[in-house]
Amino acid sequence: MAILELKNISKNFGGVQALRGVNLELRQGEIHGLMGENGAGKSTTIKVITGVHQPSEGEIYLDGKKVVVEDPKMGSELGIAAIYQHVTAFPHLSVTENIFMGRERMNKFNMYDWKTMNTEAQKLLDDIGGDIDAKTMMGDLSVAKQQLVEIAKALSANARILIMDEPTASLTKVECEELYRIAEKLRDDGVSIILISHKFEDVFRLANRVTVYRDSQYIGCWDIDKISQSELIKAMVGRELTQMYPPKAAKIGEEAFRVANLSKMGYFRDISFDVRRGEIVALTGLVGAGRTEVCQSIIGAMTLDSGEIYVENQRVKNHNPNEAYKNGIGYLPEDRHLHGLILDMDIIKNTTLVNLDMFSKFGWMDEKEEEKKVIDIAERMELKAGSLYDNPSTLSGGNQQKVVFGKLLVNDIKILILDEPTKGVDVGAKYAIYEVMNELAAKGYAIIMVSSEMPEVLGMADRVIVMREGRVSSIFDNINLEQEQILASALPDYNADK
Amino acid sequence: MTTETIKKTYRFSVEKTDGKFELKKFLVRWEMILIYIFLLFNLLMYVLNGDVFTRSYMSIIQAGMDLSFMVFPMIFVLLLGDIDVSVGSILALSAMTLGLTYEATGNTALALTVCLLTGAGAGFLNGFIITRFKEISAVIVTIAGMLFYRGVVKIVLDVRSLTLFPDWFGDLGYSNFLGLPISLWVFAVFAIIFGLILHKTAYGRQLYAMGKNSEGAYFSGIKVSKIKLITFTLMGLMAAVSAIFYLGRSPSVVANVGEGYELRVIAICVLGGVSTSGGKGKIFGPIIGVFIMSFLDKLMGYNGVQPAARVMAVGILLVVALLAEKINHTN
Amino acid sequence: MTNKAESIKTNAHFSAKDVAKSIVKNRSFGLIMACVVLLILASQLTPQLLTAKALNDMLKNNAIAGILAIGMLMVLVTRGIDLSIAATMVFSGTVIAMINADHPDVPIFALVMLAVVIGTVIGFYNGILISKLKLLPIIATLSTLYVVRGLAYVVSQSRWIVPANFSDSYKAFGVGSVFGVNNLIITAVIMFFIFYVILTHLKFGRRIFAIGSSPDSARVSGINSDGVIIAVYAIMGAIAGFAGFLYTSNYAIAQSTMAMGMEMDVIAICILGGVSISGGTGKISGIIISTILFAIISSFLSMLSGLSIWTDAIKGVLIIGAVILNIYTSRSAKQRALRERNI
Repeated sequence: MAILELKNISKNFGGVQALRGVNLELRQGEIHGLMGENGAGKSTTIKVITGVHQPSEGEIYLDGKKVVVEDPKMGSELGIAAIYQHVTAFPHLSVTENIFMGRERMNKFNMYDWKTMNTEAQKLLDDIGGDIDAKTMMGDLSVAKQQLVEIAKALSANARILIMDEPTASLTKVECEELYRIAEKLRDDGVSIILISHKFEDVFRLANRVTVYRDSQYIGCWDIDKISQSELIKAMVGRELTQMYPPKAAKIGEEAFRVANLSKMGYFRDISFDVRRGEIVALTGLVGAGRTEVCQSIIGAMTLDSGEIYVENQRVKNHNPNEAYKNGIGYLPEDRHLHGLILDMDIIKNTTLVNLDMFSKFGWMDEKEEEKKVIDIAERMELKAGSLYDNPSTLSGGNQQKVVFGKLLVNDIKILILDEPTKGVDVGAKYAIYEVMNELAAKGYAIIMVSSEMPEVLGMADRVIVMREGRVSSIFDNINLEQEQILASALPDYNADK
Repeated sequence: MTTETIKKTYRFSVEKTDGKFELKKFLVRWEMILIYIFLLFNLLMYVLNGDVFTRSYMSIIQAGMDLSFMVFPMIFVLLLGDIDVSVGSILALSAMTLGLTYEATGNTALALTVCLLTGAGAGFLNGFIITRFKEISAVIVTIAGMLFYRGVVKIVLDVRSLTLFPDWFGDLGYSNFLGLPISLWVFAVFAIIFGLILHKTAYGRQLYAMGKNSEGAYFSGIKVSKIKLITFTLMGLMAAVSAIFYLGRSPSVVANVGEGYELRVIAICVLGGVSTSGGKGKIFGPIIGVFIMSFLDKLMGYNGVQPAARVMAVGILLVVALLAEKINHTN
Repeated sequence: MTNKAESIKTNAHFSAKDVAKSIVKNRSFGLIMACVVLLILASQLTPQLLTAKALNDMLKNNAIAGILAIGMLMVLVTRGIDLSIAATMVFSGTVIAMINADHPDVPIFALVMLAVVIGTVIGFYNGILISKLKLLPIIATLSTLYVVRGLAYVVSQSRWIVPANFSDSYKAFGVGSVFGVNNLIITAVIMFFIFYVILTHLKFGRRIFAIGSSPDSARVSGINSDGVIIAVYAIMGAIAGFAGFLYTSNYAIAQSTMAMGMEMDVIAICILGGVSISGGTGKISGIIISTILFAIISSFLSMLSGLSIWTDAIKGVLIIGAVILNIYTSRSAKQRALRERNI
């Protein structure tokens, strides 16, 4: 009955525990939903099933027999296929070619038999019913249609197990219906499907059963008609808030920062909120809701289509991060390796990069001044490093983050935008960063904290802004606020009555 | 958990790791290897061509000075992770405007100004297109620039040659001051200036940051476009300076003046340890590279190697330097 | 009714914009239009261009650039570039020309093979530098350019080989024709056809596009990217070697400094023909049309007295113009994709 079974799967990435003994049982001919918050372990599980990663512990059973999926190619041969949100295809090649990549049909001269391939591809596409011409270039198709092509590709490879990772995330209502129809048809044809989705509509409409993961652990598996949406939410977030957060001493003052009707086509629309002096406002929501894009547009790293930004009631326009700094807005990027630090340049040079004018006279660098300032900042951050003249690559994740944070303290800024400030940081360093945040709030900074971690949001924020699919879904005061409320507001179609 | 009661102690030092001097490590540094190679060439030339060599030592140096001025800004361009193959053509363009202006007005100051403005202008145009259209790489823009600037020279000059230049130009190319070539003095001055710019100024800091991690530099508030624009303009300006010294050695402008110079300049930089992927390299290596290049050239010249074959040697040298850099990088 | 007047006005406006839009959408359309426009201009200013002989010469002389463009197309599709092709062509051409001048009884076929082998070796060398040693294509091939040019000089000892030195059988290819069409043109047509088939119907050809389109996806799909890239540069070298024979047979000259800068012409032809510098796209049909356009431009300019000196500057502008055009095209495609997101 069970076509695929994961037993007690754990996955360790050099110290980071991505999966902790999770289970999954997929029955032949069922659609099985997999739900959980950001970082609950769903993506890693998929990668283990398809062969991208090897489990550190645990077993995988296919048709009751134990298997080891060594690489994606083997996964494909075993009949496992996955469709991701971000399509990994060849945009300049045709749909047909994408479908048959690696398994091309050749004629007797060992040349591509385009005729046969085009016909077969078209038939597959027509069966699925996506109204796609097999000869179009992949890059010319919408994301929705590209997904259908990926499904066609999986079918063409005779996939028996199809994993769909957030398939409806970028689809319109009409396109969603199309996808549902196709998924049901596939199930009727005998394909077993694992459906990862944040949308209750997807899961309740398509799935027979649903499994929930939370914090890299398996929580439970239920028949879909035996559980309600609110019970599912409880399963997804139900945790004890045991982690301690430093006490807050900040007095909240007047408005320091305000945005009105920020919009950027394809990313977010009509974003409006304000932040007061001394306040920490959390910006939360699911991945893809548009939080980072909003932040990057505020500081000018991305362009805004429309909307206004006010710093202390003065209208400002930031065309690049440099102007943002000058206008009093500092930004801690989400990916510190990509955007936050220059790994092969020493800590001091990294820190002073944000305002070289401060440390130079007519362009001539004053290294003594630099050292002084950075020593001061490093102390405040309680940085642990061999020497300030070392490169950040020698530091731990938490200390690297402290260096990035320290950069924000160089300039005279009033608003701090912190994008996932404790991501990838260990518990001890987290606390130190929280302390600094509270200290800065007490000094009158206005802080916007993008976070996907519920406990952190509830532990640190004065107010919580929830974004959903590019819009502001709710703004809560953090008084008796529950995790379930936040998640419910973040999920695309939560309905408390169901 | 409160922190007021815990006495803060430093958890870091301010020790500069390169403050420690290890003789062994110092002796195998890339710059030292370059010095060994340079000394080797000196030795070879002394042994093979003794007399001629010692007598014309200064002129050997002089011969290689004209394009050396382009080496400095090319280091900057390469540090950014970019490249500029249009410098030979900018040299030609600037030399042409200098010659034409001088021919028309006889005013040296004006001619020099026009020359420098032309070079800077061409460099600015390169930089403008590169920063305005971020999708285009510097490779293609400067290839097009290479064609275009030389194309303009071909249009204006056709088969003509400009030969009227101030008399003192020859001094730049051939005279000495206190026993050393004038061009060498100028080179030294520029070496100091550019060295200080690269290693001691905010601009230099930003160059390194951009080359090592352009995204990180951008988010740290560096005005990436501005720095690129300045760098390419500077490159063009120094190409014009090179033009002046080129004319000092050979006071005639024809359409194909400076052809192939871009390769030499890049080769000198790569030889000097500047990485083509950006973010790595110092001023000292290429300085030695300049001398290595001109001595190598003369070494071949004295021993009967024709000019065209010498260019081949430069090509080989470049590949060897590239490979050495790769090996160095992976170590 | 004002409505009708307005609609006429918008229709007229629409058609000018329409033309502009379709040029952006269909590169070939724009190129053919340009050819037509130039030919019309030529009929007025340089009617001597429109004679059968002149057109034949024009196509003949530019056939070599077109053949080289085939190889360059493949290189560019893989996100690379090869500046050494003219040097390779000249080197191999000079070597076999010298052999022919000194040993006229060596069969021409053997000489052609030798030229191809020489070119392949040089191309293979480039391929190793770029794919295995991971050197930047621009710099690696720039260095090869100078090494090979130098080799050409050293080997030929700056000797000029003139028409009188060549054996008749050698020169025969360049002047010979089939049904009145010059051999070079026929060769170009044959090669365009062969590579069209390779690039559209053979696994190797398709792999080139896959690698250029998305190197990451290619890796995941198990494509041997390194091997394909080495092969691409080796083929480019082989073509350049073959072109060495064609060039020397056509002009009956061999000298190490000839065809200077021809690599730029070839790059210009490719970019004009719609090959993207960022890889993944390129069509033989585009190359064919842009070679012809290029040929017309060169001949047109050379016939207008004193205007041949404008060619380099024009090439530079054309390259930038074509690249910027490519950029606007891809930007509007991206905008379209964002609009569909429905947020």
